[in-house]
Amino acid sequence: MASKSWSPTYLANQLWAKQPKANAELFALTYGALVAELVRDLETNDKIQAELDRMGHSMGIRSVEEFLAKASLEPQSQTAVTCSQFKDTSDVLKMALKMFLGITTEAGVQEDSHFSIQFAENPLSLFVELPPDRSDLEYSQLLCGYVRGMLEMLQFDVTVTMAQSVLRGDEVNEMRVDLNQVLQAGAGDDYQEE
Amino acid sequence: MNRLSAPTSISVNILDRPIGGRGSRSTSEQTVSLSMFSYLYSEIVQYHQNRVDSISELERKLEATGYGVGLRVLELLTFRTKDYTRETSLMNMLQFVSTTAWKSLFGKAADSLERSIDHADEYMIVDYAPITSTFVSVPADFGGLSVDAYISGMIGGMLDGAGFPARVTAHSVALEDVVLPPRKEKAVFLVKFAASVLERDAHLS
Repeated sequence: MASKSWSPTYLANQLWAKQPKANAELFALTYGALVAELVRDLETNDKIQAELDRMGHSMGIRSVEEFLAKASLEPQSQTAVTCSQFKDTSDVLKMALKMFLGITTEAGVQEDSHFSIQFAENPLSLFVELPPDRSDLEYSQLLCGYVRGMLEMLQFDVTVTMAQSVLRGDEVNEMRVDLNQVLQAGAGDDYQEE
Repeated sequence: MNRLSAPTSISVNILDRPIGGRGSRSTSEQTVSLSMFSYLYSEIVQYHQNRVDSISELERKLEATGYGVGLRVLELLTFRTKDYTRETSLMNMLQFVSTTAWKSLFGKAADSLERSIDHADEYMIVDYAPITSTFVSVPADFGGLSVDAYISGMIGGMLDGAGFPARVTAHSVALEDVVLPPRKEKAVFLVKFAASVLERDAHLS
């Protein structure tokens, strides 16, 4: 008997509805305060972005656990999501972004080794306009690190960049995810069982 | 509706964009998940923790971060009222912070607003479950660190922005005989106003 299966969008909305919420403006202002702090402390754009990326990375690592615990993606559950190829990962990623950030994303490019995700609303940059002397700062680098951290926990070594950003004058935000390699599951060689 | 959800064109200056609230965006678009906020806040605390030598310094850092946010929140909330009012009396301002501002930021009013018995210039805003410490447990050797210092900074920013300079500190107070909610501590934000504020308030009333 074929079990009933749900679309990823439906599941994502279900997950989002169940999540306890926090005010998006408080979130945006808090992130803004952090970036302002980093600008004062670290000065160069490269260092600021590296720090944001690192923070996003560790947030992503924690989010994966919560996502897997709450999303129940096992084959026997009522889920239409299976990741047989890397590009299918984008569907699950879209679910996670909806669940944590409440944003609806659109799939952009879908190739074997890279895909992109587009979104109109960026909760990080709610009240933001970049000053002229920081116009090339990638303000939303945290999101790139976030996605990189999540996928790393799923054994994908990826490079994430903001291909387009509304803050820099593009029509839409677009995150590009490039697959470097699939990591080996399990512990390393030097791990020995007692 | 479609026009609103379309990507914002860069030609629109940030000052010309709608500031939201009052139904121009639906409530679902104005939230992120609580866990996302907590992850972010945890990163902020860790970042500062690596750059300070003492617990009190860490609290000052968090307060400083919150201060700027408080100023902006006050401005934002003021713009959203119909008549751009600013509270001028001390009690009304405290009410504004502990109910209006609290509701818009945390989705609920603060649990209580109390006046200190011993000191006329001290007030306390009490919250049983502030979101900055919902998922936080402070290690024993961290000597009474209150991670709610961020919120106390915000309160300080809001009061200062409205012309009520005050020293605001966050304290975690252990709860005896907990019934509800199931927490061992409550957060008390102690507001100590500058002498000039009390003097002015006495003149006004």
